[in-house]
Amino acid sequence: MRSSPYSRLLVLLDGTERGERALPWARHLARGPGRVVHLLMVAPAARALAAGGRTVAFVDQLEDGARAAAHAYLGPVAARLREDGMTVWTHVRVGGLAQVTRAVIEELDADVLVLTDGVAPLLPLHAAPIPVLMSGPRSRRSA
Amino acid sequence: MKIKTLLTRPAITIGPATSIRDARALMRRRGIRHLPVLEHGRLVGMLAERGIDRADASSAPEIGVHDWLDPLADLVVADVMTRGPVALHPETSVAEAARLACDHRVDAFAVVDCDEVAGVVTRSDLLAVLGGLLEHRHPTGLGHVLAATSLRPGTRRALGEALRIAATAGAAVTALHVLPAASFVPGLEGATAEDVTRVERARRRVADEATAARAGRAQDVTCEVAEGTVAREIARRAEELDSDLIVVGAEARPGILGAFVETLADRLVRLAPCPVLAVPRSGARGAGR
Repeated sequence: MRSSPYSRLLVLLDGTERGERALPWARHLARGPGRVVHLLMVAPAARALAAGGRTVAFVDQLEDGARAAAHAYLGPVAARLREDGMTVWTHVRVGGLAQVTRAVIEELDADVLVLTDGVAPLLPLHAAPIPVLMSGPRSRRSA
Repeated sequence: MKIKTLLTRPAITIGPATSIRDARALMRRRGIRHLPVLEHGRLVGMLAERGIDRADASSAPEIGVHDWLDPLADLVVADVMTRGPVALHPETSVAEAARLACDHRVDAFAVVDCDEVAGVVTRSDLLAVLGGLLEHRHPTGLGHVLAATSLRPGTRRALGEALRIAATAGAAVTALHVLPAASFVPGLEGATAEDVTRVERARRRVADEATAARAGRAQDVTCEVAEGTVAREIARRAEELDSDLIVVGAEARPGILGAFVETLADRLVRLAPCPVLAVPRSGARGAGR
């Protein structure tokens, strides 16, 4: 069996079980020496919370909370993949999904993006600069 | 596959009044870990070796007088067995049995036909069969890749990508081009010579594209031309071929309205029975590097 044609996989997750249906394909495509899997979660940019004319939560507080929650989610997911002998990195970013994903693709020089539909409903497939593997609602096998 | 195919020997059963010592001896002698318990010929429980071990374990916190006594000495099967066991019919599928084993956290099922115990199927039996089936069907989880080609310039990359991925798993590849609906339906009256020529021409172009995408590699590609609504036809063919992956070219949609126009890949993700890999056109980075 030959190694996967991809060496740097970017897997977009949203913290749901549905999103994790992308992981079997990540496992499949990461087969071979030197393959690296990058798990990415994108938290939407926060807005300050105000109540009664007073700010009760600042943007940085909300974003820090979202980052911490995302890291707490990604840690065990990455650990499971590492148990299978894979090299896994986790990334948490804040901002617009499409823009952040594109920026991370460039930053990591990823060569395939793997995700499940619903994780990125507004991500235009045709605009991605690299191949995008996505499974939809009728997919009997996980992406 | 039915669980009756897993029953390789006559059922070994035991009565509820049998002593646990005898039951354990029987298990060891026959190399089994589960015994259906019958009373007046009817299944009333399941005795598991694990249950005996639990009953045998001393609950004393430190070595004391309890450890010198045999906790099983006075026990009979009825004291240790699981009552009201889940029984399966021999015609139950292996997949259904596996689901029930998970749902009910059961290690072994008695298989009962017409009130008679025909045998025992354990969780290990089910795992061995399911593992073997998966291994046999798709050693790598990828048995067939369907590459949809529009035959437009720049989309050859999708077929190349399909071949590269299929090569990693030894998967079969079908290259499919769908002619738009309301053109030609092979075999139907009214198909003109021009229609036939058009389909033949398309078939040749798909074959040429496959040859070019193979780039000299020895890899078989089945070439097909179909007619219909493009996304629906690709999804239908993927269903028929039991494809594990569809590969398509990602169409560029330039301009402000581009982001709002649904592409073939978008439609396929909704309709397809398997994941879709959208490959950017030649010129974009990523594929084929």
